[in-house]
Amino acid sequence: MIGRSQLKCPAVHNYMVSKSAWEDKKKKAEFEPYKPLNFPVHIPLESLASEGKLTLYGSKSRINVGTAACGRAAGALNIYNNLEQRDWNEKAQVFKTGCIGACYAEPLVNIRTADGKHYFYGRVDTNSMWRIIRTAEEGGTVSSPYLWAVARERQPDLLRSFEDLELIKVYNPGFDEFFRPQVRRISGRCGLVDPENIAEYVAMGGYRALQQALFKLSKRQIIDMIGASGLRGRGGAGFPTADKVNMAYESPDPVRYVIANADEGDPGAYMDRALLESDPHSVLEGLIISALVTGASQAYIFVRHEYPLAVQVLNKAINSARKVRLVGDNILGSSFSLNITVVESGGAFVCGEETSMLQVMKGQRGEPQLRPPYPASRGFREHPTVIDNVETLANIPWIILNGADAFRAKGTEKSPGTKIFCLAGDIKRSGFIEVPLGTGTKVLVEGVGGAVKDSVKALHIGGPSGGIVPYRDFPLDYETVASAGAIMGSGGLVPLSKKRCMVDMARHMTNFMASESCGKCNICRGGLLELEARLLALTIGRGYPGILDEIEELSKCIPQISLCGLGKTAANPVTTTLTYFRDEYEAHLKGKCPAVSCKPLIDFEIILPCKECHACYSVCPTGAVKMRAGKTDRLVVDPELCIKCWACYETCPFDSIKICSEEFSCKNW
Amino acid sequence: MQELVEITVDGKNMAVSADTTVLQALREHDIYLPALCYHPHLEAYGSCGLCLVEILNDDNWETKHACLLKVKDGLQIRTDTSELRLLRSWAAKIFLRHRPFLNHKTENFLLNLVQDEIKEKPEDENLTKCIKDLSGYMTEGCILCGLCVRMCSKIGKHHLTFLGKGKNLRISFVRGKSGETSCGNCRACCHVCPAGFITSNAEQAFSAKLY
Repeated sequence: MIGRSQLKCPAVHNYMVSKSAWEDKKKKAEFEPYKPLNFPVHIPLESLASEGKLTLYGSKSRINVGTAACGRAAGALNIYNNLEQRDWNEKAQVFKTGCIGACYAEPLVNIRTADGKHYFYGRVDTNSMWRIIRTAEEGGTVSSPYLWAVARERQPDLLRSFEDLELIKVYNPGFDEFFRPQVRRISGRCGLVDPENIAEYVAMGGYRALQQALFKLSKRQIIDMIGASGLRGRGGAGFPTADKVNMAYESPDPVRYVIANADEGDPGAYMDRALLESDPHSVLEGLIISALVTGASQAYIFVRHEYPLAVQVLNKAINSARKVRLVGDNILGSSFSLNITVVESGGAFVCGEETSMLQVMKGQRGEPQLRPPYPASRGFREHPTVIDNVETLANIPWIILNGADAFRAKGTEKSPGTKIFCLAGDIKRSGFIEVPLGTGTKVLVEGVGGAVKDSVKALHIGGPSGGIVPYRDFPLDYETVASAGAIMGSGGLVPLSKKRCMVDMARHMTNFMASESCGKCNICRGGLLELEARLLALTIGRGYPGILDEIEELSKCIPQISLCGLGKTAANPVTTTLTYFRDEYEAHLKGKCPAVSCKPLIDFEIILPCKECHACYSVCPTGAVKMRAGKTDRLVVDPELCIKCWACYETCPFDSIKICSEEFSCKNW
Repeated sequence: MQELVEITVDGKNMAVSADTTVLQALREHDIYLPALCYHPHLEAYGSCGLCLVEILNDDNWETKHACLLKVKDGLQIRTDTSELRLLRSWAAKIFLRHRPFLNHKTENFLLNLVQDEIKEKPEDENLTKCIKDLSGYMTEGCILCGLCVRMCSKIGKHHLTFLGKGKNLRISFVRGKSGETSCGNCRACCHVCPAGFITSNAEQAFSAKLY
């Protein structure tokens, strides 16, 4: 026979207390304050911080190897393994950190010696290993082409962000130019902190905002604070964050959700990934505060499946936060509990849109839904849901720590604060940068990016649903960008040089949108295909009279009929290029590509007489470069055989090959 | 007693019941508005882009989908302007890429929507070739309006679904978990299909020929 104590249901068993004991318990509760039995032992932030300080400002040298996705692509793991395997003899320790922002300098190694100096080694390879080791073991400057800059901490043993560093010696002037215009508020810790170590994050001032929000401020005060700061959603639309939170806060529904949107699909934009890989705890802190204010007990982070490293780092961060009770029940000993779950998406562009993201989380096809009702009033499982971009969330702790006025000190009146932009394209220095909103494009492209003057023709802002506008100096804020016909998007900034064909760019973007549209609306699915076909016809020299009018009409119709944000902005690259670069469209109609980029419209010619080094002859893969008999003018390109691979053009040591694009001499359509 | 609201359609006032969409209200009053993806028994979807109307919003005429727009008091609607005709003609033109249709009525209906000046002009063959290059093959005869998918879900069978996205969108037949060979031949999808693509049952239409 089974004894009562062996019963499988302990809850029932515990409940069977005698009536008198139950009365006793009740009486006791009147005198003693409520205290749960298995109350978790909370690790105070101070002890965590002191633990983090040991590794951050230890007596050993600290070697940070940037191993975010950009660093790994450049071979940082190899460097890390080499350094890690060395017997340092208690003189140094090697850490994996995220990306500092200067993706062009990867693999980047940053050494902090015990005297508080930081040595930045850029584009490191195995040749530079000994210099790194020497710097780490002995300190002092070693002259080396790999050593780009030396910085020191403004106050010794105080490193909360990149702003606390002061460059004292710059060996690579580009490195200084890259960082000088930047104001690194939310991305300041990236590349300096070990993303998987929560203690270091706390030592750098992390989770203090959460502490303040929990114990010193009321929910109303926090919402007012965010409202006063004028923080706008960094995901693209620029909706005021405080309004969103307020809508959910005032809702009568007791169940609320908070979702961090890390599904960024814009080609050329990777600020969400950079933040998640390099400083996941700042996002977590923002998410926890956002959930606290909203009154949610469950938060989700919606990450792209294509960011495996970000997912991995994020999961580790959540687990370590759970271990020290910063996530889970009774956060920091308060009555607030929050569970955070990471949701991996399949990685479709359209799922970055909040309503279609909710559809995916419900387990349905990622089709955008009609708004209103906005998710903030009725979203996930029909409950109020606050959906914020990762970058927006990372801003919230900063605002709580420094106040709304400090936030407004940078940026413009209508778009305050800083914004992370991703620089890519035809520039020398690419990477992710944080500048105040309203910074001039000239500063970004020529200063930070280091583009050669007058080489940039156009700026592509905001990814494939943004626009392509002619390059001139204008402030980058939500209003100015919108008035130029583009959208800020998530902040991709691609300068395009004079060699880029605008029609081909528009075709490429339309192709992207046509394949990434959900396909629900006929006009978005079929209309974008029609548009792409017409642009393709132009770039292969098969245009016909009236094609430009058709393109113009279509690009006006698609936003009008489409239901969601994707369709409404899908034709932006076409409309903007058509307004600003109409001459290129017209030239294509005549069979000429002014930027000499569209393959079917260009020809290669050898300027004769040349030096006859035969480099082009030997490199041509199809035998299009032919040698003629005779003594002069022996080399010629056969247009029939030429596949326009540009090999001869790039090989020629004397620049004797020219690319030309001529208008059709006779009408061949 | 049904609550009534007053709306203005093309200058004429009319009283319609409050809980309807504009498209339903107009259908009840015998005002013609073309629509392909609409079915009275299904939830509004808004994919075809034909049932467009213009509503007055602060002195601006805004284009809206009639099937998704709820009626409200004092709503001013225009159903037939040159802009709307242009939008509809593009939408119809895009549908006509899926020709030939088995259902001639739909084909004629779409051809009527395409504006005359566009219809008469023969299309450039280069463009036709480009479209073929880009999309591989168009789903011939099926306009991907999604009526069959929604109908199949509505009657609780869930045998049809969309596959892929964007220009590669297709409709697919899903066998049940037990691997039933047939979907039950209720032929609900055949009755709603506007293009007449589904002739006998969905399984034949979507698993054999195209998909």
